[in-house]
This record gives sequence, structure tokens and C-alpha cells, in this order.
Amino acid sequence: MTGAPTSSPTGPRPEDTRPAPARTLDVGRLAQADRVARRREEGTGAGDGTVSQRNPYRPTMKRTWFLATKEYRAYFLREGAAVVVGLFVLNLMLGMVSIAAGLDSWTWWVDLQRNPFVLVLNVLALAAAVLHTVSWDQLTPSIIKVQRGTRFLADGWIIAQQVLLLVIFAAVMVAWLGGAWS
Amino acid sequence: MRRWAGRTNEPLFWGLFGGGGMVSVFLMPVLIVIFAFLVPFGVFGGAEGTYETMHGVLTNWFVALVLFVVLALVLWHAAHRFFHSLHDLKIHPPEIVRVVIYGVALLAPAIGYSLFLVEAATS
Amino acid sequence: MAHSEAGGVMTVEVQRYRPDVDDTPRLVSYEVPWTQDTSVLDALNYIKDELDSSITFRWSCRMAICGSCGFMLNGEPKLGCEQFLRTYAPGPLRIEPLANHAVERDLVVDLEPFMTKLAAVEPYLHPDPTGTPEPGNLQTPEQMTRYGQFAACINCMLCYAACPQVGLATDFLGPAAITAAVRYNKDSRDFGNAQRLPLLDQEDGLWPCTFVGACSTACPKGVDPAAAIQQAKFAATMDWATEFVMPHHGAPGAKDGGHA
Ligand code: SF4
Ligand code: FES
Repeated sequence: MTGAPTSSPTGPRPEDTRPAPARTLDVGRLAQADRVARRREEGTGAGDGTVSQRNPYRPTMKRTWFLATKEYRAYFLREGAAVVVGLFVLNLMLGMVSIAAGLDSWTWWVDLQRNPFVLVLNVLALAAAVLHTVSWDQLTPSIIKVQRGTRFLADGWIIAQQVLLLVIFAAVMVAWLGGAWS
Repeated sequence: MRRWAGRTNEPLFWGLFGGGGMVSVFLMPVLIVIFAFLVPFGVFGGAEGTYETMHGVLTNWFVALVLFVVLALVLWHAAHRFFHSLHDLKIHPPEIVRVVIYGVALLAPAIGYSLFLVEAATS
Repeated sequence: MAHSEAGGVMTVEVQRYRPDVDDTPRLVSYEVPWTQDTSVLDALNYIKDELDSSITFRWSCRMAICGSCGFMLNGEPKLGCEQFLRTYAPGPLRIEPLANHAVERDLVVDLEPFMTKLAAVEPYLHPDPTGTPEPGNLQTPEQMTRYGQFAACINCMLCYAACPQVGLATDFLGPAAITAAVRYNKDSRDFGNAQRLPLLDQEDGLWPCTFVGACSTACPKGVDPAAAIQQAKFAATMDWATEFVMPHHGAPGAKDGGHA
């Protein structure tokens, strides 16, 4: 119902007798290839050897990125707080050695805590420790998941359990030092 | 221990970090309030009083060991965060800096405990 | 309800970048009329239809489910179709391509690194090697709950734009890819934990994460990728400890071990 087939999948292609089309140089494309080659030489762009328009811009992070948003600032404060708490741990170890060495050195250590410089460090340490406790309490529920059927235990329970530990530890320490067992 | 490209000991480092952070949550605020403020400002009596109460318990070698290990964990926590903060600041120090940072967290408690044992034995 | 109180004309600044001409991107301002229900994506389409047809951006579903239209809106990663101009009134609103990604043109970023990372964690069911599952490969609602939240990801990459560690370490596997791994690790029908562990427990796998938490803030689907990553760290640590104690035990990532 149609005319003679001009080609068939199996047979040889009939010879194309039409005149070859006049080809014009694709100047734009060659120019682009040159650009890509140049960029590759300069190491400034993508270019995988094929003719490509790609030249992705790669933004870099500023060193001060952590100041950019409130969330980043809170994160960085949290990380820095750990170091301040670490300083107090060193102080506390000194206290341990002092109490082992006898009453005189223990008195020296206790007095040292009233030194203005140490006092400032201690105030900072307390703020840092509280920040750590609060931020850690907020983050723990996403790690510790207690599944009950098709739900998870509410975050509050996980937090409450940590707060409870703190309260118990504080009560025991205060009772002990207050002379409850002596 | 199996090895594969890029496997590090980070699970160990992170595990200790997590342990330190965990105990720090309920330990540190209490310890700081008590030993940085209440004890020095006489809430529990003078240094003699607290010495009387604590000396006997704390100089037990095992109690002291536990305390130093717990404090070491908190220190490790600080070291871990400090090291990662360097990366956050785009500082990529040579390996020796990392050894020093975590080394403090290991050596300080070790030295502290040794001194403690020496002092406890001689006082 | 046809009448809306709010509306007007807002200045919308769009970051433009023509890879064949520009060295660096630049902001171009457009004046866009808006009403109560003009989304940011509507604004971009207005610019394309009425002001500058050369502007380039991705979108498809315009209903916050295809994950194509992620942009930085005034510096925060958001889905353009889910945000409305009224939120940013009186303006100006700044629209930039997703942070931490190579910019191909205008608001279009290179998806290739993310796709590679996502594919790397083999995010599909690995059948039980010891036998065929019962017909239908059944699962109880409780078993589905274990991973359900993590399965809601639409691969919008907002979490990658929010995460500073992605920007600092470009090879970091990143929030959504790790979450996809966790999602399958927690699936009772999946037995691929052991294959995924070497990808997660390596320098560029889980460990660049410092729990900034910005990914979970940015996620438009409540996936909480930060939680998935911390749970994966915990599981990897358990596997490490198991191997340390029993070097020849060698079944890390077993379904009943360490992947609570
Ligand atoms: S985890 Fe959330 S933010 Fe990240 S790709 Fe998935 S849906 Fe988008
Ligand atoms: S267009 Fe599909 S998520 Fe916005």
C-alpha cells in the first residue's frame, strides 16, 4: 500500500544518489571545544575531553561558616563547652591527688578554688557543663529509641531518666558531704 | 578485626566519646557545684570537715580507680570534640597533634592516678 | 475565600550562573506580583514566563513530594513549592541554588555525587541468603515501625545543603544516603547489613558527622536523618566491639545484633 521500501532491516541499503548536503562548519561548537580545552589546561573547569557546555561553579565553605546561622552557632558553642569542662576535670584530678596527700594539701586545693582566676574558670565550667547536659538531653532521645508496638516511647521519658540520674547523684553527694553517714 | 578501605578505629574513639558525654550529663554539673562552690565556700564546713568525710572513702585504691576512669572518659569526650572542632575550622593538623590531643586524655588520668597512689601510700 | 488580604509586588533576587559565560554567579533582581497563595516555585515560573525565559531551575510535582525544587531561600534550604512568598513579605527574597553543591546553571545543581552516594549503600532489599521468604515477604506493622520514619525520604538533598560536614568533606556519604542504609538495615525483610557496613564504617562514611543536627531541621519530610546517623554510629560501634572481642565471630550486622 505504500511505495517501494527505501531500506530494509536485512537487505543492503539502496545507494543514496542525492547530492551531499553542503556542510557548514559548526563554528559555535568548535569554539566551545576550544574553551573546554583551555579550561582543562588551566584547570578551571569540568570538561572530560568531550565537547561539553559543563563548567560547574564550585562554591567553597568559608572558615567562619559556623557563625552563619543560629543553629551552627549553638553547635559550635556546644563543642567548645566540652573543652572548658575538660579543664575542670584536670582541676578535679588535682583535687583527688591533694586529698590523698593529706589535710594540708587538701586545704591548699580548697583555697585554690577561691582564687579569682580559678573562680572565673569554675563559673565558666559550670555554664559549660549545664549547656552540655541540656544539649545532650535534647539529643539523646533521637539515638535511644524504645519501641512499644507501633510507637516509640516519648522523648520525655528518656530525658526524665537522665534528669533523674542527676538528681539522685546530687542528693547522694550532698547527703554524704552533709554528714548523713558519719 | 576485619579491615577494609577507609576503616578506622573511629568506632572505639566515638564509643568512648559517647560514654564520656553520657556520664558527664549527670556528673559534671553536680561535681562543679559541689567542689567549685559549695566546698570552697564552706557550705559543708571547713576543709577539715570535708577531709574527714571523704579521705577514708576516696583513698581506697579501687574507688579512686573508678573515679579516675570516669573522669578520663569525660576528658576523652572533651578531647574528641576539640579534635573535631579543628576540622570544623578547616584546620587539618598533622597526625602528631591528634596523638597529643587524645594523649592528654589518656595520660592525665594515668599520671593523676599514679601520683594519687604514691601520695596515698606516703601520707 | 477568593479574596486575600496580603499581596503586592516583591523583589525576588535569584542567583544566576551561565556556565559558558560567567566565572562566578551573580544575583539578579526581579519584581514579582504575589498573593496569599503564590509559592516560591510560582514566583520562579512567573519570572520564566514573563520576565526572563533563560532562567533555569528544576521542578516537577509542585506538591512537595518529588524532591526536585530544593533551593536556598534567604540562606535556608527549602522546597520552593512548599514555601510561600507571603512568608517572606515584604521581601526581598533571595533564591540561591542548594548549598554544598556544584552549580551547573542558575538554580540547577549537580546531582551526580549524591546519586552515587545513594546508590553506593545498596538501598534495596537483600533477600535472605539462607532461603526464600514466605509468599508475600510479610511484615508486621511493628516491624514496619522500626524503619517507617526513615522510609519517608524524597531525596530532595535539603539535608546535604544544610550539613556543614558535607561542605567540609565532599566525600562524606551524607545524611540521606546514610538514612537510606539505616532504613534497609532496620527492615526485617532485608539481609544486607553486612554488605553495607564497610560503606558506613569508614572515614568518609558515617564518621565525618558531628551531630550538628541541621539535616533534621531542614528535612521537609520529618525523616530525622541525624537520628538515623547516630543510630548507625551506635550499631557500627557495636559491630566493631563484637569483632574486637570475638575476631572470628564474623557476623556483624546480624539482624538481631546491635541494630536496635
Ligand atoms: S532526609 Fe529529608 S532532607 Fe534529606 S533528602 Fe530525604 S527528605 Fe530530603
Ligand atoms: S516540585 Fe516536587 S517537591 Fe517541589
